[in-house]
Amino acid sequence: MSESIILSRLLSHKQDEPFPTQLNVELTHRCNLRCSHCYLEYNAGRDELTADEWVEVMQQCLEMGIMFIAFTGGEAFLRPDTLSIAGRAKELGLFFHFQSNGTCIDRDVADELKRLNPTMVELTIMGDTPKLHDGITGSPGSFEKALAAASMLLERSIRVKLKTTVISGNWKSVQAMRRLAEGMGAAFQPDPLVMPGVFGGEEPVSCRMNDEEFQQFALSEGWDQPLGEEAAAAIAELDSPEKHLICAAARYRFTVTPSGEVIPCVLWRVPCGNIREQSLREIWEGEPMAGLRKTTVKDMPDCRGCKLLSDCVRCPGLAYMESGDSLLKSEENCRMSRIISQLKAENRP
Amino acid sequence: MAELNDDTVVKHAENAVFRKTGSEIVLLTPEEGTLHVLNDVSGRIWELCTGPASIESIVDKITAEYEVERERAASDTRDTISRFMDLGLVTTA
Repeated sequence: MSESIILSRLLSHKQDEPFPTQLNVELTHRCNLRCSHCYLEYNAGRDELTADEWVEVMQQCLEMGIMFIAFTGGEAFLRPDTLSIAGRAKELGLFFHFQSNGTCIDRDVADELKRLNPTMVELTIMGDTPKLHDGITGSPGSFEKALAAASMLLERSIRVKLKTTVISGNWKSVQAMRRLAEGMGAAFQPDPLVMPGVFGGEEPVSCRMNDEEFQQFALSEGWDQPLGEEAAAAIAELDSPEKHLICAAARYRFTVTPSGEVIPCVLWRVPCGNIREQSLREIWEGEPMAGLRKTTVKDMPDCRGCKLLSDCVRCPGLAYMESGDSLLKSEENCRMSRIISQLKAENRP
Repeated sequence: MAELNDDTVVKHAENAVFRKTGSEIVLLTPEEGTLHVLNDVSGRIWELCTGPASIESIVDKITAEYEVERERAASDTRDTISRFMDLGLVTTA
């Protein structure tokens, strides 16, 4: 009787210790849109890993028992070899999904994606109308292309999620975007977290909702409401400062940038090594990644004991971008949790 | 559990996500984020469900390829396909 190689890889991890399950693959930082809230800096494809180098990375993933890849960018489909890289991932037995703005997905790409059998394609929309979406992306026609891509993928029975970053310019349209997504048969996910520019640009931050706008958005999402019985029980089971303040980055997921740098998350860009100099496993097991993984609430002087903890979705990447120290508080997370906590207090009988 | 008879024709669900690594087949139920690593026989049944194929034709092949009694092959095949259907990975054609 033959032993399962896949099971033996998955079961080789030590019990009660985090192990990597997903690698985020930033294929390129090139993008054909110029979104006002984007935290990445456009580059012209300098020093990108080749397809062969990515295949080597994915082979290393398999050896580490990682089964899931997220192909992202920039705009991943600007690389002419993205589909062939994904094809190699499929041959290796890896599951993957794509994050894209949808503008490069035509019928041929959609047909090829059907063959590649991704778990999902996540498409970014920034509004429910061409005027709103294209105004934010700076690219006329990008809304129609994104929706056409969504339709083509759904027609081919590929799961689609429409995602939006909620900013001052589009928060009023979130419910309309949700209806648009659900009307098509796609999932929908709004995210109000706007990161500062990776290279210090302030433009993304200036796009954030102000307090009043965030309050209205939170109300429209029902974040002031007590949780249903089932959800409350699920949260209670998980409820601990650790669960609130420690995310999956560096614990279950990590990221490789287009030039091979390894970082905990697309939003938490602490350099941990480069795949051109060390193996993925060496970087995962070495410092600083291992140290970041061992972080507990006790190491966070601003956050331990905070009264807003239960309403906080602390992002270590945001704290790192704001202060240069992942362990300090994030002013933006504090602002959001303060508003949510206030709304809940006002709603309490 | 789905009711299956010899004439039931099945096929992979249009949105089923799976991978083949070497001789191993792994199915994914994305909604739950659960991986299902198939053993040799259930992997072969999965391949035969690419279909459309009748339960009877799948049982015929399993009986022949694994040299087992038809009754046992039929029972195991139905159970396995029912499980695939419960997971939303196989549908009737």
